[in-house]
Amino acid sequence: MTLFKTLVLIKANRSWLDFELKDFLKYTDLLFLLIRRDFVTSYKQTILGPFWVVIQALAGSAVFTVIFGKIANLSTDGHPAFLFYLCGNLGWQYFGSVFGIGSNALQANIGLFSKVYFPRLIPPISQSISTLLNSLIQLIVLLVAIFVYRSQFAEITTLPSIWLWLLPVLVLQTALLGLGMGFIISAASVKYRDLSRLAGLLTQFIMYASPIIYPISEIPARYQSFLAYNPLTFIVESYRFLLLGHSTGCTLQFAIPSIIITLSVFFFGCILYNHTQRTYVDFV
Amino acid sequence: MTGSSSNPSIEVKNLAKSYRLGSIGFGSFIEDLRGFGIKMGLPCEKSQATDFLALDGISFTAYPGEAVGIIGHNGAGKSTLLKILSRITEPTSGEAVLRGKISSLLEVGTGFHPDMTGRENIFLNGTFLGLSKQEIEESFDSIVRFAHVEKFIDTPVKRYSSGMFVRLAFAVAAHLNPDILIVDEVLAVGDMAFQKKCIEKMLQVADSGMTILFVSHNLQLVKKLCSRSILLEKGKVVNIGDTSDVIFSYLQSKEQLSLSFSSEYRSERRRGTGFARFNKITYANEKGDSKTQFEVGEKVVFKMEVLATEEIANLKILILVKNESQQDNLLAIEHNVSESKFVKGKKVSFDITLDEHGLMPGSYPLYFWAGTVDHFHFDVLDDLLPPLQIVSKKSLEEKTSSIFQSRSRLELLCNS
Repeated sequence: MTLFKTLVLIKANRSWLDFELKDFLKYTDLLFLLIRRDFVTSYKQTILGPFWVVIQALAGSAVFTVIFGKIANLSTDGHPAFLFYLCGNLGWQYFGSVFGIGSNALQANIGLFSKVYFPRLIPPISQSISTLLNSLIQLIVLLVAIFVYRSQFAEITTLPSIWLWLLPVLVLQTALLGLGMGFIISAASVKYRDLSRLAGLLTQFIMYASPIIYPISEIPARYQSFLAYNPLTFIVESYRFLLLGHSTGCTLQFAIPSIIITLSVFFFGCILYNHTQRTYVDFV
Repeated sequence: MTGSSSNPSIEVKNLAKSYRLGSIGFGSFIEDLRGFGIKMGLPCEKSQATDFLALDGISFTAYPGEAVGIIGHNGAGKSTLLKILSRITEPTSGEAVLRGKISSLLEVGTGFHPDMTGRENIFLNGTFLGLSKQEIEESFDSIVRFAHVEKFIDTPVKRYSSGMFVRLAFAVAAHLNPDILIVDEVLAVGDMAFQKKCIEKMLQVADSGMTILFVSHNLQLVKKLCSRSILLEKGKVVNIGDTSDVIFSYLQSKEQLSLSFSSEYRSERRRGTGFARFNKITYANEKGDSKTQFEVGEKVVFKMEVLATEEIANLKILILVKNESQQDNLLAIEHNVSESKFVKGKKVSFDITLDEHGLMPGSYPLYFWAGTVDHFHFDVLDDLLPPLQIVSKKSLEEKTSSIFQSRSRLELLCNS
């Protein structure tokens, strides 16, 4: 009894880099239970359940096909417009959800965080994983759509790449970028809530600044090197490369800045989030 | 296992926590910019904001097997201390060392999801409180038995009665088996029978070598559970030692408070137009000895003085005796002060004697109201005065009547 296993030191002004990773490992059971909880409860009291995701994906791409494909006449890199937007939406929507989860992490969990200690990174991480369920449904819709297109039109060459097994790595990069950016917003808007308004605006802006509704090949070559500094350029173009078979932006020129920026944003976001969570219940 | 040779399980050294007063908005943003400017070495005026010290140099130690009570008035810093020791917020300065596995119960049922079954929620809540899945599996049957929800364990908890919900939540908490248990007044839940069960469980764990830090307004319970107590006042430790001594000094300080309340005119707990004001309220027994602690069945006399600051036509006095969570009114004592007219500056003294009340041992917040028969508020003291303490020489479980019947009377003393 006298030999205690754990020692907790509570003091002021701890290091910004003190992430309490040891505690994180102790709470892995909680992480899995939370993911399970989200799976179990996400479609409670709906009639169509996960079919809503299917409907949303199809309707969203149909609208894009009409507006950007037919009316604005944007190129789709040689892919059928409907498949092009279905794929773009898949990557973009996962990024958008994770960014939303991150930017609301401290605010949405105040009820829990003000009552019990556990590693504050667990709720946003578990939610980012459980929201993958939606992406999985979208992926199935996309694969079925590709199959249908190929069986109907002989000239279509769209087919998932042999590198498809790298998809989890790409998903991980998407999640890290979304969480990192979200954490910065969440931490910064604890005291002054103005920034959470900005987050909505920012999301729209990022969407048009990234090649979601247009392929990177549409952009004049001299501007492409600028766009490489938007980490989402590489991410979205890579989703197309893996799922549709070819794209222009899945090259080292885009990959290197994208990966470096993603990792730095994630690291910076975590530091800010971790520092803010220590006393933020005093402000909210 | 215990004794002076072992290391203390809680060591708090000079802990302080300050909050900035005022609201957050454009003004505080300017303050922040100034603070930043000073840091950068720019010639800025020093910030005008006032800091409020919720905790001011708290130090104490607690050893394994010891239950320590923390008492104090509202706003003395009890909750802030618990929040810091539970790692919910950080101190502004000072430090605390906790040796062993900590469980802190600032509420019961943290993380319960209404759509999930009792079984799923046991696991979820347990892991939130720091248990591993395996540890929960081991004590699962015991938790279900303790909560007495065997039949409903696979039903979503939103279909539970509130009693079942609370029982299940507490049952998980009762099976944490930490080395250090930090408890805020969560015991004020459930029905009488279940509360008794919870208290027994707490007494049982206190004997098993666990360190307990217990915050409560229920002095009877603190006395029963804790050998040693700490009295906090305005963020400072003013007394630490044997529980009976600390409670004694606490009640004395409470009485001093009751005499000086008139200086506080407008606050969250004091409302009303002020046409008439309570000048003085003291509690006494039949003989007229002033005190705040009464035995079960003992008559309680509220000695009051009301000052009319405007001319008023009639005066009604209402006293509400509330339960500890302040959610229910247990007794309502209502009297018209039989006086035809009150001119400005007139003082009226009277006694309201509570001849009969069915109050069980415990602590009961009081609400005093002065107004007119047509419900015009003159003065409201909402839990501003010390609560009524009912104690019993017999043990807690003797009496379980929960029907409150009361008889009271008003006696006019003098007018001036």
